Amino acid sequence: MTRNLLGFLVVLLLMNWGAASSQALADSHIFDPDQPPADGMGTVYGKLQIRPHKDYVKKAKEKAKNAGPGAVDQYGTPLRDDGKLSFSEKMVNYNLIKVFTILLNPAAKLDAEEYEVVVEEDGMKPGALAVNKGDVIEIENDSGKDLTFFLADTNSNDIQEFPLIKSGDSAKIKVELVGDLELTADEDERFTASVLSRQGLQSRKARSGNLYSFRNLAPGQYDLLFWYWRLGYLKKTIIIEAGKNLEINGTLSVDTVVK
Amino acid sequence: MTTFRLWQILAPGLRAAFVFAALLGVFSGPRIAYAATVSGDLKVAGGKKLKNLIVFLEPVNAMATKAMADIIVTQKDRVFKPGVVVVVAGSKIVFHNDEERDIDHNVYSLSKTQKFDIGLISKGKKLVVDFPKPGIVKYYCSVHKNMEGSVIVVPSPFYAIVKEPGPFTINNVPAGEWKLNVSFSHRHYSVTPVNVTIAEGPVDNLTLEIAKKKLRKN
Repeated sequence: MTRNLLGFLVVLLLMNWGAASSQALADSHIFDPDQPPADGMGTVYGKLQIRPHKDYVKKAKEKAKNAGPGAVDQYGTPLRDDGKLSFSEKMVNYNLIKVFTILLNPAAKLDAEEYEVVVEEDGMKPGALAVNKGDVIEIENDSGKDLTFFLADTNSNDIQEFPLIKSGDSAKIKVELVGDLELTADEDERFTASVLSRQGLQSRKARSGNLYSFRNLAPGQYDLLFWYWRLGYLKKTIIIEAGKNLEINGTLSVDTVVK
Repeated sequence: MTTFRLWQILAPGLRAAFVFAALLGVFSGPRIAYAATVSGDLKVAGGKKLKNLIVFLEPVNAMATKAMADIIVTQKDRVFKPGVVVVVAGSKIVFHNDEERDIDHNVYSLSKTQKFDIGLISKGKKLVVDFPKPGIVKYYCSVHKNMEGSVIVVPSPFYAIVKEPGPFTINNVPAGEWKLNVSFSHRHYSVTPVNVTIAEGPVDNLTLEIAKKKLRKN
């Protein structure tokens, strides 16, 4: 009986460990910088961090340092063991945010990808997409009302309209605009998602502090964007060289975006 | 010294020269300021009920813009109040952290009209932001979720807040050339401004029409 119970606990433990490690794999992009790229090709990789405003981080750390054992930040929240800040329910939780790393290669011929957006009563999920021109977005309308969507460039008058999607239905739309776009329901502006669309766009989405990589790229010049819809993006122009792994790290925050 | 006393001590020849010059209109002096009412109807194609519309006049060849007194936006209970403010270009907004608890806030904007980051505002502190350029400035607090507001910066003090499409009136508009325009947030629509000349008498029966944007694919 005891052995059976012990065996059951071991199985349970292994199952949990498996779930935790798959989550870790899903969150972290596995890449070994010592492994050379394919012949004649190059790679770009790095760590992208998103953090609160530098003044906030400085104040939180000073407060915790002065507090001694059982350190707390300026809101009385204990500091985490990993040194990261904690965030209350009403705060923007920078530990949970997933950030896009985007590689732009306008000459690339990429296959169209499909993305799904669900419209619920309280908004659209996900609230941000990075797409290549020609990609397809499937909109599932679970809002409870009929909606007509359009894509609008936030920096010009360019617009793309789509047919009405009845409540409970879904429809696929092909993105033909390029720019910093918004996908919005004409009937209700609360239903809005940010769509960053470019020609030759490839993207990776990872949690703050994790690695990203774009492997086996042809040598040449590319633009790399680090993007979170509410903070905008940081742009870096990179040169990929054959046989080399190029490390480009980035920090996305209000104070690194607005200068 | 009164004007009459000054007139008396001037040499007779000089007095005559003054009268002659005045008759010729050499001394233009300050003109009597003329102000008129501008009114009309704001329409939206298809009868769409757009909200929070600001009808405003932009000077083309008219009086320069005039900033308003500082406007205070408070940060209390993790909410900006008021959430939407209208200011004239050149005005300042004072952001005041009015929280009862020890809570820090930040204000930043990535708007095309104006990008700014004012850092951290501690409880009880105030920080000022200038708004020199007309347009819509949407801003956020980088510390707290769902904490956001908008500033609608208009190019002159001559504007009317219209809750929904329909009649509008703008009073005391000085003489000159103006462009009548409207600010709103819905990206599916655009407006063509209307030229307005203020000379004598009110300008009424104007129609300002908001239409759906024409399809343009890049």
